[in-house]
Amino acid sequence: MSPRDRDRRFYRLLLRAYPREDREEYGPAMEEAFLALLDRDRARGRWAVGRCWVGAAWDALRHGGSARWATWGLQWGNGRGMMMETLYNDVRFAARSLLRRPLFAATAILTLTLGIGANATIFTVVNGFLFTPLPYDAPEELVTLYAANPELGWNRTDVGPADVWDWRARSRTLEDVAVFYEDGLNMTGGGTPELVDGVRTSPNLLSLLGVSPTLGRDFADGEFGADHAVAVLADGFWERRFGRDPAVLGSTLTLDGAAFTVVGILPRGFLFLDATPDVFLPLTEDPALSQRDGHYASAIGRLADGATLAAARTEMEGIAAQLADEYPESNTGWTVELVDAHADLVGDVARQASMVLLAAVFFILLMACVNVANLLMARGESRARELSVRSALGAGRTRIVRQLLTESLVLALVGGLLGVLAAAWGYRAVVAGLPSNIPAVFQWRMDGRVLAFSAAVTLGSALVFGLLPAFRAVGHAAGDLRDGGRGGRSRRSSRMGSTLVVAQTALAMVLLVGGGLLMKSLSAMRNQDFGFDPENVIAVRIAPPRAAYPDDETIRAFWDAVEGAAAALPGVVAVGTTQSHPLMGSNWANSIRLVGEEEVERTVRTTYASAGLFDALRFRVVQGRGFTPDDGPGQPPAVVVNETFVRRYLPPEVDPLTRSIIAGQPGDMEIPIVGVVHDVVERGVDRPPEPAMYISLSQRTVATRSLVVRTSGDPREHIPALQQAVWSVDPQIPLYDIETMEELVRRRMGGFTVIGTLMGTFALLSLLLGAVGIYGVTAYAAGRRTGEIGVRLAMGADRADVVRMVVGQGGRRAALGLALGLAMALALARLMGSILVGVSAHDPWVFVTVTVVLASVSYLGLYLPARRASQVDPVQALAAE
Amino acid sequence: MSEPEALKASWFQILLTLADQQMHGTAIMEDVLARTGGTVRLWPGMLYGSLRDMAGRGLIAEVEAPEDAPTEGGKRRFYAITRLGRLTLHEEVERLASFVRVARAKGVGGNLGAP
Repeated sequence: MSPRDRDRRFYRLLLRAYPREDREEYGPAMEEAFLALLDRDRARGRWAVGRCWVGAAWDALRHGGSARWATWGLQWGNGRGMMMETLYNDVRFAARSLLRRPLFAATAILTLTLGIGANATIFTVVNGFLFTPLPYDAPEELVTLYAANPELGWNRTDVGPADVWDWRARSRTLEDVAVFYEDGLNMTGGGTPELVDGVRTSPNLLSLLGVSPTLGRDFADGEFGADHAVAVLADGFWERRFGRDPAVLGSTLTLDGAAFTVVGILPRGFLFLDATPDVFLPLTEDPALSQRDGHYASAIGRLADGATLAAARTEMEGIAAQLADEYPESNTGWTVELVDAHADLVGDVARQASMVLLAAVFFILLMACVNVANLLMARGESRARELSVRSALGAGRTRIVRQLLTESLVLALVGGLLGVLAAAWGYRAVVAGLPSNIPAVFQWRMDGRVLAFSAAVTLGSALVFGLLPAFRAVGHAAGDLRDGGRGGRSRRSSRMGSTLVVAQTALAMVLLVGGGLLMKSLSAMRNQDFGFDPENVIAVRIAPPRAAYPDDETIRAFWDAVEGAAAALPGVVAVGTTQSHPLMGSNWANSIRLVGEEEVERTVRTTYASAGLFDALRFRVVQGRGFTPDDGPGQPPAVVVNETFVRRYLPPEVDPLTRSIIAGQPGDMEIPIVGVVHDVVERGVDRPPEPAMYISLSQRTVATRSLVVRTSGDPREHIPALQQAVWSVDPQIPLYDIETMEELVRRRMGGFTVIGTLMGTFALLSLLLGAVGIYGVTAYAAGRRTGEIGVRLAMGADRADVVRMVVGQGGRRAALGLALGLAMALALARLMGSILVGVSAHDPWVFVTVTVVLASVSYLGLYLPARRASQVDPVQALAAE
Repeated sequence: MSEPEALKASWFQILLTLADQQMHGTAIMEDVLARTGGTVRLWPGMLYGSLRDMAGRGLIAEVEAPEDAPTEGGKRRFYAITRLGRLTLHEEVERLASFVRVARAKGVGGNLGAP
């Protein structure tokens, strides 16, 4: 976005202060006028630009606000609202009175900016995930459909197109269901070969989502199979590869050696669920005729008018049961799971993290409000005489309360404005840190919802921190002139102050525990035993096209040649290939039976590995052996399992190397277990290891694989040589998803790193706010007791006694706060369960450390002002009385 | 005081700008800025609020944009002074001028009273 567009967008936000009719009539003209003003000021430097924005905001508030009042039929004097005029005067007065004590105003505003800014930042991020509907027609009707097999313990599993087509035909609660899967294709002809991300889909997917091509047409009914080689391009791909040339329509693309006619181009800005495909293609065969036992596709459906998700679930389970009766070999035990499409894309971790972060920033804001209330109260007392005089001169209570509240409001508004500006940077920083595997469909911006939230938070905090001090100040105002400015006030205010100390300490405790737990979880995740060594390893994906490599022989020959060429490169230590490397995100699994227990089917994560893979990733073989070149095509088959497999499926007294498995129906070939490897983290850094098995790639051929290369130095430096090595085997083949294993690990932890860093920041912020708050209350209370302390000292009290007295009184409150906070933290930590890895929600180490740290900081906050108080000269202190 | 109420400063400046030409909002704002050396800033809300109120009172009127006027993101709104507006401006100028005359007579301002 150009700076001018940004200015325009920000100014449009300001324009929202005006009633809609005004905005529609004058909005564009006002925009133009403002941009002209801004251009003038830009020539005069940053200050001028800043002043211009503040002026424009004030202008919008004043004129837009008054126009709004007018439309609500409120007092409307000579062309301008009387109420607005009074408010305007109040605000001017408040601003002047705040400017007289700039340090006070700056402290309060900075505190509020932190609190409101943190809220606006987190809310913007959460808003993008949770509150912004998916960008499709009637998005609330969309549901994701999964296959599930409760007997085998499989849930949220991919679906088969044949099943989906039956669901679609039989369901009444679902208006439509589409089936699709991702497919990488090599594009050749014209320029460098490129691997394009394709989506193979039933013809109804785009219309189901409510999107239609801007150029050309959508898929037509019955468009599947090789006879219908048509393609619909995504806008991004059209731009990148064809420079938005409309003549592409009707031309052909060569994908995996076959020609596809381009029939449509999708609108700019169209986002597809969790992928960013370049091109949409029809399914390779009629779904009704496809194999039933393959589970490799995704399905999305739209609820019929008036149908609920619950009704659809019930109906679909019935349909799945019918299908299991009709196709017992493939469908027995299989049912269907329906999930709201939005919730499905967000996922549990992001949802819970959102809630935890929102709660954290809410606490931060509360602490900020408590601090500002404390500041205001201290100030309220110091200006009590001023208020008394005004009250004596006839200012009514309401007038004074209104004046004080206006001051709070001005503080909050300035803090809120700065907070929102800070959040405009803040949320970008947070979003930039989010992992790249976040579904593409989520977009973040500061929309009306964010601004409304920020406004509500700003006004809410103005009430929280403003109301109490205002009424308290008025309460004093009446009595102040009579008793010469002293009296029972200090006791009341110290009681108030002590309540604030308790609240501060408790809130800080909760935030520190939350932050501590997440930091510990993050470090546990980082330092966990991955089961492989990510250092100096690079992985690339290569997909030899079916057209050139049609059978096992050619595929195997290709891969042997690639492995050989890579291994021959200087600096390469080990080379292996696999259908999916650890943490890649693949989810291949098989059902197996153990020989001797054929009646039980077990689910096992499956990895096909070449002989070199274990060395390339430094898997640790704990028993038996890994694969060797001897596990070749003609040799007896062998399987390696992991420790979790042994622990979960084999009795402890049995030697795993004496057992065999059957990878199919009873009576199929028995495969002996020849080795056990230490568990490898495959699925996610936050997932416990699952039972897994490794099968030699020489015995079962997979075309698309990862080439995994361990080098002696920085693996990135070897990329060009690696490319050349692959191209020496076949110059037509693209390498894609090139990534070092260390980068992959970092990316996988990205989301957790963001949550952990944010919570850590908030924890530190809470510590700071807590310390400042406690210091402030204590210093203020001690300051008011200077006279009393002077008397004590004059009567022979030790300075240490004075310190002990002041610290002791505050200490009891801090201890109460600690205890309260501990109880709250124990209760709340449980809510963080699913985002904590490798650490219990009640980790004693975290709780103890946090208690010690917070207690020390509180002590410091008490001790420093106490010591200062004890340094008074008794003679002076008494003279001042 | 029974003296006629002073015209709002912003209205006065707008009328003064429109006295000899038809203009659109942004141009009015820029003209006023230029004339006052940047001291009178008609913020967009104030500007268009004033233009609307002034049009409502018949001081100015919206007119067709000239054929050759450049458009930026849509048609610009042009304004012209009305008879009433000219009259009001005249009265205000006279009112101000009367003060200036008094001031001059007392030797303030201009070159006469220069020390």
